[in-house]
Amino acid sequence: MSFTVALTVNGRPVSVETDERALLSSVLREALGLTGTHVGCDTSQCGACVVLLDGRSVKACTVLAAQADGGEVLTVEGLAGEGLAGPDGSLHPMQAAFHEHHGLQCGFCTPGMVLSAIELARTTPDLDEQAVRDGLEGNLCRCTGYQNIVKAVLAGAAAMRAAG
Amino acid sequence: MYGFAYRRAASLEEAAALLAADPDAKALAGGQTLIPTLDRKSVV
Repeated sequence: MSFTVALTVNGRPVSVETDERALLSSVLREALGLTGTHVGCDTSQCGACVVLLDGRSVKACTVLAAQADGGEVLTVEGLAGEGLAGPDGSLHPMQAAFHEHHGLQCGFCTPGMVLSAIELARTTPDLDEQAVRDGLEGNLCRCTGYQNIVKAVLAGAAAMRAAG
Repeated sequence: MYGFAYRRAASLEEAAALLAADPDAKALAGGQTLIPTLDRKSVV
């Protein structure tokens, strides 16, 4: 059945005519063209599709767009507009930390990693290595072995704290 | 995606009434099992 979903995506109000069975990941990628939200497994395991919905990390392949109706969605494309990074397109501190610490190889898992890491940094005041590893349990990376991702998240969290 | 209708209950009473009205109705919370199951049509 046709369904109109109203969302605020990366600060921009949007209204999308879709199906009530449509996944949030499909609406973001196909209707809004925000293909930075990657779909890896489509079974809610890999975490490549993580976005923030009303500030909380969700796997967009496991949320109906209808469930997100009225909500605020932040995707990787919206990070530069978040206030912590410049309008000139400079990187969010967590993105910069992934770059600095080489927290990726192929990059497929990176959008979900970065968004999960941002939520983790915001909700965990004293992040340590174990808390990062536990917090990223729902995000799979098949390239890096996680060592540099953990380093990047610890550095990114410190940079976010320093930036206020 | 398996065919279904989505209803967002505004209260516990409405949710209970919706669940009682249809034996096939399912409550959706995190959806980490139910949505992939529906998406893969692995329920009948």
